[in-house]
Amino acid sequence: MLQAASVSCSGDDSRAVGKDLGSELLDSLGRDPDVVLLFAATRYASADLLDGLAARLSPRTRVVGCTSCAEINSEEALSDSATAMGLCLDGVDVAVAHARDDADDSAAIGRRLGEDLRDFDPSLVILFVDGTRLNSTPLLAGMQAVLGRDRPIVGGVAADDLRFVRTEEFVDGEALSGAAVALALRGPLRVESVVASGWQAMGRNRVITRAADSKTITELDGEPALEVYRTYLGGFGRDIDTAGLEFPIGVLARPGEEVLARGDAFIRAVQGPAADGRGVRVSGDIEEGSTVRLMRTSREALIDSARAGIADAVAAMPAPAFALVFDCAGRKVVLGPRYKDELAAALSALPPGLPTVGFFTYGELAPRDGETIHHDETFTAVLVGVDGA
Amino acid sequence: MNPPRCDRCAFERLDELDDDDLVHAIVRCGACPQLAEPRCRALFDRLRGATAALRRCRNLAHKRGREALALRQAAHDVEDRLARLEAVHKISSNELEGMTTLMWLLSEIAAAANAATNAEEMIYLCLRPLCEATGLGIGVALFGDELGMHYIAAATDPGAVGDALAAIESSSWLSALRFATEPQWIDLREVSQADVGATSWRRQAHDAGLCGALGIPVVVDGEPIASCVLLCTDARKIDKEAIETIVDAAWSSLAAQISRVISRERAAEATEGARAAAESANRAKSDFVANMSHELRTPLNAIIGYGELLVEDLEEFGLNDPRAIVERMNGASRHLLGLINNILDLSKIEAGKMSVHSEPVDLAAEFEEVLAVLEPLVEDGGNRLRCELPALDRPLLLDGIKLRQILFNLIGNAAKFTRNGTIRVLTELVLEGDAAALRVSIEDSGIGMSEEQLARVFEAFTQAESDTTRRFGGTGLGLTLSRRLAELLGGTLTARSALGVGSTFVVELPTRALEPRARAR
Repeated sequence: MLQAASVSCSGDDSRAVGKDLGSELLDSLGRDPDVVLLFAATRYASADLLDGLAARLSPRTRVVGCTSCAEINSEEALSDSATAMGLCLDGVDVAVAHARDDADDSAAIGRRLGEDLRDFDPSLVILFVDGTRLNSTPLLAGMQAVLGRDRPIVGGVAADDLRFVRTEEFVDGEALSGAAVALALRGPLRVESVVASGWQAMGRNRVITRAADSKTITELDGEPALEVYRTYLGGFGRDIDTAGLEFPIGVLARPGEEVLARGDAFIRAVQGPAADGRGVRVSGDIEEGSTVRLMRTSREALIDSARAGIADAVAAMPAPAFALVFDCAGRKVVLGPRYKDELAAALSALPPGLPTVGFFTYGELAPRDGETIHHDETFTAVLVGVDGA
Repeated sequence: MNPPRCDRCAFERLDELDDDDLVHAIVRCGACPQLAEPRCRALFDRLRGATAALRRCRNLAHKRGREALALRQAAHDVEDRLARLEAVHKISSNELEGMTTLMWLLSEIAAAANAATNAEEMIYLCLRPLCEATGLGIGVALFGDELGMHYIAAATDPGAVGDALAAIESSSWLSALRFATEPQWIDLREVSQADVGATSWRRQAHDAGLCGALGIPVVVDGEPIASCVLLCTDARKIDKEAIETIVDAAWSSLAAQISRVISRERAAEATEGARAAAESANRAKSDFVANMSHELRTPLNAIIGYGELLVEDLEEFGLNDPRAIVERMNGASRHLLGLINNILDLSKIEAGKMSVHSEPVDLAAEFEEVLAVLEPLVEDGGNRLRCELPALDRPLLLDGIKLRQILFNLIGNAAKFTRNGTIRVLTELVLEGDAAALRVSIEDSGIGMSEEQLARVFEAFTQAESDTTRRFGGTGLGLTLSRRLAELLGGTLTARSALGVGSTFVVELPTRALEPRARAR
C-alpha cells in the first residue's frame, strides 16, 4: 500500500533541523520511507540538513528535492522551513536520475535525464531544475525528445528566496547546483494535474512579430513591445519597474497552434525593459509568431483560481494518495502576506488530511494539452492516486 | 524497524547523546536487552513521547517566531509604503494647488485685459492677482522709469517701504529690468556691506523689511511697455520654485494679453480719429452750404426786387418787349431762390439746426391756404383737384409751417406731372390708442414712374428723368426735402407709382388731437 506523510521543521541549526525532519517522518510513518521529497529555504546549510536527515533515515531511502522560496505542507504554506514528504511506495518502482553539465547546456541535460530513465519507462517523473543556471524549456524538450512528448512530467524550478543567486538541487546526501534531479515512479499510478493561473486577459490579441532571443519580446504586431506594454501599464498608473509581476503576458497560442477563445493561456512574467530599449524581457521562453495578450488580475482572483483548480481535480479524482503543489514565487510576491491565504484556500479543497507537499518555485512544470511545459506565475498541483489502493 | 545500527550500546555513551539521539539509537537498536525490564520500557516510552513533544514544540516555536518576524517586516513595509503614498499625495496636492493658483492668475490677467481700456490700467488690475498668486505683499507698476500705481497687501513699515520704492525707481536695476528678457529675482534677505555703495536700494529695501524683489518686464514685439515689481514682505513665503512656475506663466501671459489691449487701444484711437474727421468735414460742408445759401440769397432778392420795379416801370412806359425779357429773368431768379431755399432747409436739417414748432393747427384752414396758392398751377394743366378732409371739431398739434411746405411740394408735383387729369388729396386721422397720425395721400393720374425711377425718387437732385426738368421745371430737391421734413416731424413719406397710370404719395405724421376749446391758429 502507498503511504505518505509530510512534515515541516524550523530552527537555527541545519543539522538538528535535518534530524528533526527524519524523526518526525519516522514518527508519522512508523517506518522508513522509500523516498523523501525535501524542500528547504536557503537559510539552511544544505549539506548539514541532508546529513542530519540521513542520520535518522535508512541509507536506502532516496532523497530528492531542492531549495525553495517558501514551502507547502498538508496544512499550510510557510517560509523559512525545511519541509519534507516521506513516501512508502509499496508496489511502485522508484528510480532517481540527475544530471549537470559544465556548460549548463539545458537541452543536453534534459536528453541525458531522458536517456537515464528511458529503460525504466516511468509512469510519472517529478523533476526539479536549477533556477539560476538552467532553462527548463529546452531541458523539457530534451527529455521529451527521448521519453516522448506526452510523458507525465511535473515539478518545479528551484528557487532561492528571491535572491536569484544560487539554487541547489538535492539528490540523496548531496546538494548540487546547476543540476536537474528527477524522481521517476513506475506502477499503477493515476495522475490528475492542476494548472490554474487566475489571470485575465485584457486588450486584444497580439502576435510576437519579433523576438531578439527566447526571453526578449522585441515587437508586438510590429510595434516596439516596450511601448505597447507601457501604454497598457500607464492606464493603470503603474510603471514597468514595479508592475511586471502584476501585469504578465499570457501566451494564447504558440506558432502554428490554433488560437482558442478559452482562457488557458500560459503565463510569462515581465521582468523589465530589454537592453535595446524597445523590447521587454520575460521570465520564461517565448517564440516568435506566438499569439499573446497582456494579463491582469486581483488578489482574490489568484486565490480563487487555486481553490477552483484543486476542486476540479478532486472532482476527477476523489481519493488521491498524496498531492504535490508547485506554486509560483511571483504569485507569492503579488499576494504578499496573503500567499498563505492562497494555499489555505487550495488545501481546503483537498480531501481532509491528504498528505501534501510542495514549494514556491521559479517556474512550474505541468502539462498543457498533455505536454509538459514551463509556466510562470501559475498555481500547479498534481494529485497522485494508485489503482487498486 | 531496521536491524540494530548501534555499534556501542547507547546506554554506555549516555553523556554523548542528547535525548533525541538517545531515543533514536534505542529505537534503531530494536530489541535492546536493557529495555526488557517492563519498568525500564515504560520509562523509555515516556522519554520517547516527551522528546517527540518537545521536538514539535521547539519546531513550532521557531516557525512561529520566524512568521512573527516576517509579519513585522511586512508591517514595516506597509508603513513605508503608506509613508511614501502620503508623501506622493502631499506632492500631488501641492502641485494641484499650484496649478489652481496658476489657472486663477491667468484668468485674472485675461479678465484684466478684457476690462482695461489701456495698458496702464491693465497692469494695475493685474497687481493684486500677481501678489495673491505669488504670496508677495507689494506690487508696483512702472511705466518707463516712473513709478505707477501700486498695490500693498502687507508692509510692516509703510514709510520705509515708500523710501525703498523711491530708491528702486531711480535704481539701475530697474532701468535694466525694462529691457530684460526674463523675470528677475533679487534676494534681499542677506545684503552685504559691499552693496551699500553702488546699489543702495538693496540696503534700503532690506532695512524696510523686504526679503526679495521680483521684476517682471512686459515687452511686446521688442518694445518695453511696462514692468511689474513684486516685493516680498515675509521671508516665510518665499518658495522660489513654486513662484518661478507661476511667474514664468504670468510673464508670458502679461505680454500676450497686454499686446491685445494695446492693439485694441490703437484700433479705438484710429476709429475715433476717423469719426471726428468725418464729422468735422460734414459740419464744414453744412456750414459752407448754409453760409453760401445766405450769400446767394441776399443778392438774388435784390435782383428780384429791382426786376419787379423794372417790370412796373417798363409797363408804365408801354415797353412790352423788354418787359417780357425782364419777366423771364425774374422767373429764372425765383427758380434759383426756390432752389437755394430748399438747399438751405436741407442743410439746416443735416446740421441739426432745423427745429420743430408744434402748435394747435386748424387742418381745414391750412389746406384752404395751400390749395388757394396752387389753384392757378392746377388749372394751367387742365386738371381737376378733389380734396377730402375729415370733419374735425378740434385742432391738431402739429408744425403747421412744415406741413404746408410738404403739401406745397407734393400737390405742386402732382399738378406739374399731370395733364388734363385728376388730383385727389385724401386726408384721414388714424387713431391707435392714445397715439394719432395724420395721413395725407396725394394721388394723381399723371405720367407715373417706373420701378427704377420710383426707387430713386427721394434722392437729392433727381427727377424721374433728367429731361423732365426741362419739361416740368422744379429743383429736384422738393421730394428729398419733403421726406426729410416728414422724418424730422417723426413721420414718413412713401410713394407708389405705375408708369402711365399715375403716382400716389402718402405722408404720415404723428399728431395729437387737442381739446375743442383750444383755439386754432
